[in-house]
Amino acid sequence: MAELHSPISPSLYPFLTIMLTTGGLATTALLYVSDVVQSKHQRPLVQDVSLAAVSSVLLGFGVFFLLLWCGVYV
Amino acid sequence: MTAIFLIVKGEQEVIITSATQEINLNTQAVITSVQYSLLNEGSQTVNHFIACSDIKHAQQRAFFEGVQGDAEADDPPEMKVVPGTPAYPAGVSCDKFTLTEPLKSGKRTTVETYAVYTKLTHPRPAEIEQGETQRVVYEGHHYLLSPYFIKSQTTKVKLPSSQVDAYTKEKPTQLSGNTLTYGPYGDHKPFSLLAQQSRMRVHYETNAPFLEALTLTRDIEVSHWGNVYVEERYKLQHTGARHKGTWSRLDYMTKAVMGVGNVIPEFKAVLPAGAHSIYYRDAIGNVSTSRTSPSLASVEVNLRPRYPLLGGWKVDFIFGWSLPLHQAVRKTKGGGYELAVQFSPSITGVVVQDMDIQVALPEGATHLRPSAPHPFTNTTSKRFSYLDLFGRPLLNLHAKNLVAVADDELTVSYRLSSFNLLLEPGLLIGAFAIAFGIAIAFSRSELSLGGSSKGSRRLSGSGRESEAGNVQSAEEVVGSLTKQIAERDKVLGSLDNVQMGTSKDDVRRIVEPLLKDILRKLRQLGPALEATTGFRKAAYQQVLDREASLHKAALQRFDGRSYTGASYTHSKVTEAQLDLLDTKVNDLRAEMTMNLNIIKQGVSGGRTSAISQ
Repeated sequence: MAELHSPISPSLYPFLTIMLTTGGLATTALLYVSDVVQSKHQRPLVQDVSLAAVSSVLLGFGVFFLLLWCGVYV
Repeated sequence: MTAIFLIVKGEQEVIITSATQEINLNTQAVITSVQYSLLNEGSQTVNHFIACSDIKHAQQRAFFEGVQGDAEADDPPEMKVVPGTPAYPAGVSCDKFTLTEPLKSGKRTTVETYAVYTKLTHPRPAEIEQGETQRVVYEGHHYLLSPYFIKSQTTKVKLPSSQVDAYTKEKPTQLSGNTLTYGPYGDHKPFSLLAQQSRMRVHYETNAPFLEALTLTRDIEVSHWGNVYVEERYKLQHTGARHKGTWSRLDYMTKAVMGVGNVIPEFKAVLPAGAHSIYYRDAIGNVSTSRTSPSLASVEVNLRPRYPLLGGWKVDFIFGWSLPLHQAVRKTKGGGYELAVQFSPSITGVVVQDMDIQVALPEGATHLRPSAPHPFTNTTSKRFSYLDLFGRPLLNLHAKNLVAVADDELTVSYRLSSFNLLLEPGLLIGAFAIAFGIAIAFSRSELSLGGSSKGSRRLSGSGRESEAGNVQSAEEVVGSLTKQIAERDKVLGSLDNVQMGTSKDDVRRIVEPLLKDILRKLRQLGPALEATTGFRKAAYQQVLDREASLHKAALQRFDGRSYTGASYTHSKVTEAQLDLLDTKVNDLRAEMTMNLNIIKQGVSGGRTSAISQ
């Protein structure tokens, strides 16, 4: 019987946390900046929603790996 | 006493040629191992072996194992206990084992039984003062209780020291050093009266720690992302001779040897090799008196409570650690998983009265099947822990009267799909998505405190039936538009008064919000204008675009930089710029008038009024 290992090696948790959280915050920033800069009639809803989707995925995973890195194995 | 017993055919033909019993009294638990040499004198093959003991002892038995063959060999085959004890004389309890190699007629074999009993020794005197040695009494039998004819038997009692106060004598008896030897004794019939009635009693000195866990809870939480948490909560008591009189720490510290008398200063725990993040705390907080010594095979932890334990004293604490996932969980064939952790507590030398084990498996685990070497009862419930949607399955096992033995493993097999593993980050993603969704909804909605202007009222229905209404509302539209243009005129009028040397910031501060506001109101007219007959959306859009570009251009003039992302400068307005401003203002006025005319034409001029550039 083989040993069970985590799907992602725990040594990768710090790297993934930083990358994903930074990326998530960057796309969130893009979302909010586009809200301020462009008027909402010029901005298609698809752009907003797709940016929000990407941000939520990146931030969701980023916070998840942050929890794992801190030792809160969820 | 009449001995009423059931004779199973074939048993009377097996005899024990020699039996050696070793009773080990070194620790608080009594360990008895008996080696039988069997000979099948009958004609039939015998498949079972029956081992018996005093019923009072059997009730205190924490561990019992039978092995056939040479005990020195590696992993000799373990014999299975056949459930349902046969009926034998009162005061005797027997267990039936299935021999791994059936004993053929005329053959010999050896069988060894190994039993661990708890609470068989009692301190006498029951109370002692600090510094006195502890003395306990063990009561047993001189002779083995057995349904077989015994040709020769010897009992060796191993004592922790050579200090023995009293012991019963049954010739031949010999005490040499730490060992008390009874025997060898000759022929004994099955369940001979002498075997049942001849009692052994040894009163000896011992400083072995008598440590009992009144309650013990082990909490194991498994996360497939890399970690298994184990936490133990102990309530330990010193169950040796109770302490009476005073307790002097000075005397305790100045005694030559720690542990003289019945004092338990510390506990030793043995954890698996990869254990980390170990914590030891109690109700007050962290207990710092602990030492860890990791090695390749295990991690040994010495826990010293805040006070040493004297007879009758109790201590509560929490002791926990983490294990890397690959040390505790295995993948089984067929796609399932198996958790394997130690069943008995990590602190060595503890007798446990009641143990609760709670195993929390990842959310979505199914087909839970626990197994352990010790009998237990189990129930299943749910626990809500980090990032749980519908709860983790929690297995509650309960076991009684336990001692730590080597190689006892609790295994829980379960099934888990990878999808369940992704639900955890999925929950976070969903939470963020909802937050972003609300933010987008708010930024896109037309919320305003003052109520929307008349122009933003939506006009419904087809053109024909509400034409009258359209015309009227179109007039309203035009009216409001005129009003707005008048407002803008005012703004631009204020620009006329801009002096040379006024800070650009100030100018901007006046102009920009008003222009933006007017632009916004103009946009709000859009739906109304669209619904009016004769006004084409494209024409309206042109007007709007022109307004927007004018707006941009007007502001750009002030700082010469692009509008988006610019930071305001505090420089003053120059004369040249003032001239430009004047020009621009006049341009704007002209444009506004033109726009108004276009809209008027479009509204009242019929459906097909084409607006040419």
